[in-house]
Amino acid sequence: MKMFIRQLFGGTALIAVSLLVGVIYNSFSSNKIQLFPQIQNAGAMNAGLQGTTSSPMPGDSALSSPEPDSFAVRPADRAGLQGIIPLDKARALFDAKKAVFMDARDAKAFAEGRIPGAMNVPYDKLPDYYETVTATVPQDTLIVCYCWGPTCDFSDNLASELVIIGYTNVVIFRGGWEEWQKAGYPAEGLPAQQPQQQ
Amino acid sequence: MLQAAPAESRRNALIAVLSNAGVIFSLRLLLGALFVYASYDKIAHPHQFAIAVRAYKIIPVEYSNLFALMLAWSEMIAGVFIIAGVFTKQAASAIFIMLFMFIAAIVISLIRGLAIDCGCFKSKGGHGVDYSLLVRDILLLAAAFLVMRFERGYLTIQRVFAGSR
Repeated sequence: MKMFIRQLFGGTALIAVSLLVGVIYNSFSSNKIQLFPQIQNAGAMNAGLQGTTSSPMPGDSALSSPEPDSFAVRPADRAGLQGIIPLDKARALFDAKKAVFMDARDAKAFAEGRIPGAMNVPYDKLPDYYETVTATVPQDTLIVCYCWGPTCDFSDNLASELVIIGYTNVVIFRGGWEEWQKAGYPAEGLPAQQPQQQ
Repeated sequence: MLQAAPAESRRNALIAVLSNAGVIFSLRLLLGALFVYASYDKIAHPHQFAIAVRAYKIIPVEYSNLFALMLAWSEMIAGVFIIAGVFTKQAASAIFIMLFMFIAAIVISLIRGLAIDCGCFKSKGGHGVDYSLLVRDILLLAAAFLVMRFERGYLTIQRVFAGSR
């Protein structure tokens, strides 16, 4: 037993050395990651959001007369500080075409129905989508994350992860697809009429 | 007493098989190959692997990148060492520790009912977290334990350099 514990110390030492090698390699790598990811503080995120919303958006009263607090970044669940927006704000952002909607549900649910123009970024497969997202969506883009509805946490998780990756303008529409659909708002990809079986 | 003897001999026979130099060497190759293969993509795609680490929601976000780097490089270095036979027992022990962590993470995720990608071999497009993963890692843990326990320096670089047999 004593021998086994001593061996575990040896293994721990090897892991510690590996960490050191990893950190050194990372500092020279072209694909380096931040050693201690910082979650943007509320001020930074708000500033980013204001930057977006205060830029001229002709004809957009819903957004330019904002109670700014409704977009305010609140301390939220796990890691991030994200704003949470209700249905009407989501609709306003949709109409203003100022935001990228990210659908955190799986590809099948996405195909069956989504907010028009939304980008599918399933949270449980996020590593697969990392390159596409970072290549196509600039970091200061206003992003609205949603999933099925108020009870799912994929949109929160996706938003947290986007903030950690470096996106500065991320908000969550917790009402999700369920509220959007109930409100009768525009949708795309709804299943084509069932094959006429009757 | 009479019944104890066959049981004892069966046990000895089992230990003789498990501690056989060829068996231990094969386990070294298996573990080493798996870990080197698992680490390669994680080292190449650190961002994606860090996301996979965070998905488990076990490591605090602030340390998740460091942990991802540590894991990816420990897998690579321990994998190379255990195959080559350099600090073989330490490498087996590092693999044992990592597998123990993986098993704990899988159990926690299964209890929490997390639907996530396991991040096992590929930084993307991998296996979900389920019971088959748990069984696989427990078997690998047993293999790492056998190498820690019975490794005697068969076909190791250390012995070649030491010049003994």
